[in-house]
Amino acid sequence: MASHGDNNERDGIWIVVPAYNEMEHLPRTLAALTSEYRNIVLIDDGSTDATRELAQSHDVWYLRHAVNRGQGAALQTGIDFALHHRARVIVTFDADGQHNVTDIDALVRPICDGRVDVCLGSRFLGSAPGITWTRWLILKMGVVLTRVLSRIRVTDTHNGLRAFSRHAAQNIGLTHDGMAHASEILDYVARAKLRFHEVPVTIRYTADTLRKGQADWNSVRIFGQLLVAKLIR
Amino acid sequence: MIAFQYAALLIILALLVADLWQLWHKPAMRCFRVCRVAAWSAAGLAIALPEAAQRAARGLGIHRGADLVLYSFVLFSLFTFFLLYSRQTRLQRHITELVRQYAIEHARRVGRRREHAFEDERLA
Repeated sequence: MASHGDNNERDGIWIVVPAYNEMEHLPRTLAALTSEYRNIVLIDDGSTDATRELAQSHDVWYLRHAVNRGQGAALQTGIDFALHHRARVIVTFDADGQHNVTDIDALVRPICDGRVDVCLGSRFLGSAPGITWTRWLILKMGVVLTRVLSRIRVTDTHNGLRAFSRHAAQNIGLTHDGMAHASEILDYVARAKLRFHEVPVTIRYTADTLRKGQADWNSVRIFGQLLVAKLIR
Repeated sequence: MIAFQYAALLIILALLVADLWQLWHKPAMRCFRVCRVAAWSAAGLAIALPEAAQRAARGLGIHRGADLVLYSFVLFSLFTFFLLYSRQTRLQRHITELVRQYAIEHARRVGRRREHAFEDERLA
């Protein structure tokens, strides 16, 4: 049974869940989250399926983008909302069932203890059952590129499971609406010289998530977007 | 002068007159219109006096007038591309900001049970 102190701590933890056409996985994801945490923010990024209807039966804050803007945009919306509600720790969590709710505690603990500003989940420190070799290779290449471009040493550059202290979240200001936001976050952590830590997490891959998830060639496009963004303001 | 020069110069003259009229009567986008007038004028000169383009090219160390025109076109196109991309990016950010503001203003707490009844809570 959670102590009073634990409950107070959990009241300051906000989980931001961006979702786009996730009717298949959303009920299970939200059920798992709402059984452990009180402050869940679901950002419906202009879904055209039954995501909106399915969200109504879970105790969450529901926000909807009138048009689809991308995961980065949805995350920033959720972060802004959580900050407005005085969140002390903000966790980003994917709606597609790839993440484990049980990993959140290890992610927020270093931030709640005041040891770090940002905690990043890493499948390469944890496990990634079902990952294809092409996805593995591209993610590893992403690690190398991130070390060159952003000069930050991480083992997993595109993991949606992360936690931010309030101070870190207040200054992120994501400008990339699409998937390049993940690299933008790491760039910000490096530039702002934030204290960060990586935590082993589990990322579950299924045929469905691999099909719906980021196509491997998208990594090349993201790299191009980041390069152009560095040239053009 | 050949037939192409006459036809092209007529078209350029019409565009130049239209832009000069707009520049005089509509103060908005003045800088853009001035640039366009300059572009039409340069194009007209290059077509009417091809030897002038040749002399200008030689003065810059370029072998042919046609090459000067080509290089100018490429540089101008690149500049326009970066300008348009920058504006497009800024526009997308503005759209996202609008969508975000609307989403936050209309946030709802859903799925809560109070005395066995579902209840929505409007963001104050």
